[in-house]
Amino acid sequence: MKLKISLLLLPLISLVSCSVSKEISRKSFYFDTYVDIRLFEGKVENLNDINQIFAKIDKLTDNFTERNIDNIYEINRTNENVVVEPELYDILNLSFSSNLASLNYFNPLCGSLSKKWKESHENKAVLSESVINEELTKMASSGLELLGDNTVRRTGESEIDLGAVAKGYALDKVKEYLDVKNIKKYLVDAGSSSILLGEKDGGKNFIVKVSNLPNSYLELKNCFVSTSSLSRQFVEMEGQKYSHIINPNNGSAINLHEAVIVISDVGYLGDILSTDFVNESLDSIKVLEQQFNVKTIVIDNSAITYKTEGLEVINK
Amino acid sequence: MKKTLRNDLILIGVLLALIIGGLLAVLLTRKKDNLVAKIYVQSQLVEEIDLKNEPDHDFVIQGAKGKLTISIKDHSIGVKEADCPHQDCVHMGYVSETNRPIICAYNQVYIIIEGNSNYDARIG
Amino acid sequence: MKVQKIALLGVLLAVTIVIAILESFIPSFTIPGIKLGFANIVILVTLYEVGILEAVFINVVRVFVVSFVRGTFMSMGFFMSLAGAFMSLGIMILLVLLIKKFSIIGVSVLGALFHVTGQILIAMIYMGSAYVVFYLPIIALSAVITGVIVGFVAGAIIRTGVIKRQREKYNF
Repeated sequence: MKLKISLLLLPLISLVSCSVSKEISRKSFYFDTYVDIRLFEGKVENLNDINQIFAKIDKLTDNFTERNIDNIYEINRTNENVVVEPELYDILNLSFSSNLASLNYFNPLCGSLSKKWKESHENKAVLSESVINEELTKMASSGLELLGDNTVRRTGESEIDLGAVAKGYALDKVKEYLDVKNIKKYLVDAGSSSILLGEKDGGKNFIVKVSNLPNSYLELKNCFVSTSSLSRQFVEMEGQKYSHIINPNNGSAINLHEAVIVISDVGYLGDILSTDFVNESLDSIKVLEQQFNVKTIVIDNSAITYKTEGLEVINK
Repeated sequence: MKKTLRNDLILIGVLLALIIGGLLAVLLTRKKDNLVAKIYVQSQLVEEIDLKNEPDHDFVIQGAKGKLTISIKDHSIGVKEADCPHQDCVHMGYVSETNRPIICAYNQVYIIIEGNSNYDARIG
Repeated sequence: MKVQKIALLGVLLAVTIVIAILESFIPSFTIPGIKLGFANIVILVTLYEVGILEAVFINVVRVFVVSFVRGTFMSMGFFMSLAGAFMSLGIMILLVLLIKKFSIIGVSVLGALFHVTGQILIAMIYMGSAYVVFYLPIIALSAVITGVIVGFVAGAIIRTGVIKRQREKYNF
């Protein structure tokens, strides 16, 4: 009797388990967006570990709330020495590095200006020249001292904003973890704006659709893909599209390009460059991409205006 | 326990087991990302919509016996209005996952959602 | 046929038609045309207490009348109901005549299941699509549940002996 029932259940269970694929994945909310972790090998505990990595970096780079840890929010409240977690020290070190001096449109001290723009966007207003100039002046007299021993000290009144680098950095840490665990087949998508690609089954490329272009795809593996684009977060006022990316030289929220995609071997760098390139001229981009060893796609009016030589964009 | 009643319970038990198995199969094979909605009228594919990227809008399609107003909202698809007697398709509301077809029998229209196997991720 | 029998069949037919019409206003959340099946209470009672032919007659007439009233004659829903009616009658008659292994509840559940199966098969043929099968588990669950309820109610009605007494009194 019971045997009959269990015999009936057996094919059912095998049917159900066969229809579930070998991928283990998890969707979580970090950096104010959805992070999709997809592992094609490995175990659930790997997902848990990766969640921990994201959770930590998210806390550390959160400039809006107190998080019971010395994060960027705390650093921005004071001009005293602050001892921070090694990851935060690392991110700050990388963001303020002299390597980035050649970038004309990246400045981590945009925090206050960014917040003011966000406020005015919510009120459907444009920031006035005077407010912008005030903030720019503050930025010019602000900075960050890296004192070693995981100690930092902010100078001046401008807030430091790590939004342009947080996701990329987190993905770098995730890649380090996956390398240690010898996991090679994965795709970690942070809000569709920073993606870490491993390999697919059989060492194949992943197919990445380019949102800003019609029917266009990239075939990539083992790299980082970052984008800065107007497509999702913009406010239209007086016929102009205002972005969330601020030009740190003139304080404007109007970007030169509609979207930029950067393909790199290093996550935090791809993020920073995609933010910077959105305001760089095509000539500058050609020079900078060589200097930093990345590949770029520049999009204006839903069409490619520049693409690194040798980078293939597939049309289907 | 009366023999027939015992048989009834066994029957119901087996049926419930099968049903639960079936439900699991339907629920576990659902996909929620990179979805594409396909609209069929009289078994012909008339529209294919990339739900992930499509902005909210409405459009009208011609069914076997009347018109249907299809609505795309928040990455889901639904039937807003339909020329049909029972309005079952309208009552279904918006669907944003696979394994849940929307059917307008009167107009021989069905809308199915498939996990897009075209790409693995989207940038931007 | 005796007048009293005609009257009884008339009452039974009327009740099942009314229930079926009321049910037809409940929208199906899955495949259009799938109905709950409480009208089957009458069919079951007729099957057990009056006769097989009478049950078939009432069920088929009901499908036609409801389709006339609701204006769905010759529609997919009509054919679904018809197919469902035949399949459920088929299994119930088989169970009552030959495979006497289940009580009225079991018969009702199997009748309900075969009914929705007939409906789904017609829907699949009509739509030219196998996709409707995704709704089978949830529809089957609803069928099992209503089948149990219908079985209980039909059984209770039978136990009151109303119809039995009527038959004995007028000898039909």
